[in-house]
Amino acid sequence: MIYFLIFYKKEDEIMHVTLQKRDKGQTWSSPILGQGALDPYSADLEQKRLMLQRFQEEEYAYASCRSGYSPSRIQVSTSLRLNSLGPALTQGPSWEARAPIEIFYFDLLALANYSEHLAMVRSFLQAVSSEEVTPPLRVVQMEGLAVLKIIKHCNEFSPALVTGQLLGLDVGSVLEVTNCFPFPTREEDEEIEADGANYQLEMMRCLREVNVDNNTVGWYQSTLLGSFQTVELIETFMNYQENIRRCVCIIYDPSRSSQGALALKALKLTDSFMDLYRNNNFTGEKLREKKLSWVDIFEEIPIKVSNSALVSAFMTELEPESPVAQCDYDRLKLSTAPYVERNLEFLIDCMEDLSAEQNKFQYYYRNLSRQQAQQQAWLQKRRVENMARKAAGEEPLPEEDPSNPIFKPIPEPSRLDSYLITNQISNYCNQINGVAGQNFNRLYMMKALQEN
Amino acid sequence: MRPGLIRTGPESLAGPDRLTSLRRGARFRRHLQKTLGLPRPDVMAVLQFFPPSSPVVSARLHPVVLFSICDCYVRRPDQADRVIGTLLGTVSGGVVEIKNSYAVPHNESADQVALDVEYHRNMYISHLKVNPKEVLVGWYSTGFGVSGGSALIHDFYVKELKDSTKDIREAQNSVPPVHLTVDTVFSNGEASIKAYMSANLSLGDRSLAAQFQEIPLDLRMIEAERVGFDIFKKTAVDKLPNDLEGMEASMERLYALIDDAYKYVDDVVEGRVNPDNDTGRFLSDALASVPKMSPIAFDKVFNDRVQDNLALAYLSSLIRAQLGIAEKLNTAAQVL
Repeated sequence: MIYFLIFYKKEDEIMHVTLQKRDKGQTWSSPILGQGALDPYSADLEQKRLMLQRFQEEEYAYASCRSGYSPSRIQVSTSLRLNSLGPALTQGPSWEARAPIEIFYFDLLALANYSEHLAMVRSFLQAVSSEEVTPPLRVVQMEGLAVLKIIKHCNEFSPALVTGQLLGLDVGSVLEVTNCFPFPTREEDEEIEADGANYQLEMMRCLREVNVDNNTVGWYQSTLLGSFQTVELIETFMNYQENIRRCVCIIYDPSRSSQGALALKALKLTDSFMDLYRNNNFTGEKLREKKLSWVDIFEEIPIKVSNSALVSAFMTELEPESPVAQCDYDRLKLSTAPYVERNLEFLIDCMEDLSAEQNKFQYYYRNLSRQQAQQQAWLQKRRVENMARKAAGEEPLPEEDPSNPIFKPIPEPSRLDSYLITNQISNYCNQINGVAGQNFNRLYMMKALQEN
Repeated sequence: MRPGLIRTGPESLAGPDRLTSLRRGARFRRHLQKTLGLPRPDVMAVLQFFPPSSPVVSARLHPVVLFSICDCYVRRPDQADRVIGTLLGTVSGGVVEIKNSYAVPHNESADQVALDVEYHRNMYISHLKVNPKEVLVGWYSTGFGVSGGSALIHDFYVKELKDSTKDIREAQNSVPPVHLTVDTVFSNGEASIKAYMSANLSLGDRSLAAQFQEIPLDLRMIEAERVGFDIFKKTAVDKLPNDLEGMEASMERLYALIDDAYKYVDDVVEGRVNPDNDTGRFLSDALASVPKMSPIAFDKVFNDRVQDNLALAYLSSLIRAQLGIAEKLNTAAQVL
């Protein structure tokens, strides 16, 4: 149904026709039949745009309703819209090819009907619009296959550190990792760079042929006792982030797994840290501004493991009947001394590094205060000179002198290293705590056995 | 042209009447299977018609391979009803360890099988780059039993193995390729994973058929056990257990085991259950393995260890406090 508003303005001898539709979403291809229609492609685009607009309207209207906007306000906004679109139609006797015109007429009663379709609307909106609000990553879901492959690869090459690529899908707030492949370990050689890229491309191409998701979602690496927080890790993250919207790094620690725990962690850089890193600005002020401390660099994401039904059927069939598995043997081992010793060694090294960094800061502060004192002294001298010159009637010299070396600003050392070291130390501490706790359990058990 | 293929396996062996010893061997094998439930390598029955082939080998399967085969099966293209792929691993001391695998696209119709050789070679080279020690040891297919097309594919893999083992050391150790079948459809109502070795049946110069003999397959999945079967059995696990939870689970299992042993001993003493010498010996061995120390010595050792652990826990909390202070100092307001 179309309503026409026709009015005639005397001054410009033009007849204004305002077309108003009762039903939303119904467009017509041209103002006059057979004339001025759009070609199919642009018509399609326009249709999409209109649908998007329409759903946005619905959402807005619904939200307004929910937040208690008065009906009159909504009316007002639509009437404005009518007015703004009205003159667009007044062109003169010849009609140009113009996009189908859609004039909204809000029916408040219809809003109530839309409320039940809001969820559908929202998803449609997300699908249609180009700018989505990505939900934060809450969980990394790995397949048992990927877990086993990572474990196998890292265990084979331990204690050397190895890396590999993760493949999977990015779905909402869950990042699914369905497969992975290892990278060959290469020496530091320039010409092998191209080989590495070729290998990656070859693997991804081959995997695509057998229907494996060949979507890179991150990478995995093995680590030794948890000493993985390095600048290289951050660099790799930034590299990946440029190309992939969401990527994650999985860290596997084969030495801790010999203690019977599955040491698999999924890490991500926090957004605030990434912004700071891009600007390469790690001074104290900036960090205080953003309230960024060393815990905020990495964010750990919980891992879920999922298996296909076929695999779990097989495993259930094949599980041995013994009630005790290898992992139990590992966990109840009494000799944890080598592991703890190595942990402590690394911890001591890190503490030394940390104290070196702190010395650097102290040195910087001392220099800074010395420079300040020098500047003050120089300024005083200048002022006295100026007084003298003023008394003598000459031009006063400027109170600053950028060429003087004592005014050169001393660069503040970056705090990134100290943050990373702090992270490592805290990691070691956590591990030691864990092992100590387990040791207590085992010791008391031994005591109980002895008493019997 | 290749004559008909002999379908084999411990339960079915068809052949001309001349192979009577084969039949006897088959009956004996079936008997063995019924009593012990284990397949035996078919060494004795087929020696008459060709020189002794491969040495007696067995195969050991790593869980990664099983997982990846299932994954490939689930992802197979719609028109294929089985998946074929290459097995990689190592051979040592008559045991073939199957450590890795990848699927190879193939086309199968009633009378011919086409395998994507280029793909197979490319993937093989890529895998060798990562781990040069894992070499071609065989191939797998999903589906129960050995079918006609399998013989042709097996021939291809025999040739591939010969091509790939170029250096002399490997050639000496060379074992013919293993064929693994994984029954993903559970046609017998159970999971059947079988490994076969092929031997050529030839009369004089003419090769008649290829016989697939089953070889023992070790399916103990130690790596999966290490991680914990719970993670791999369920279709979704919400949280990976951390140290203390794992500890708790192990302790509970140990407790249950001790309970069982206790109940058993009680039953035997009361006369409810017949005593079994082996079990009794095991129990006494277990009890004797607890080291015998005088209480004083044990107390001393125990207290020392407890003190060490306490010192560690204290040290780590001290360091954490230090870190907190250091951070405050570092980002505190500047001197200016």
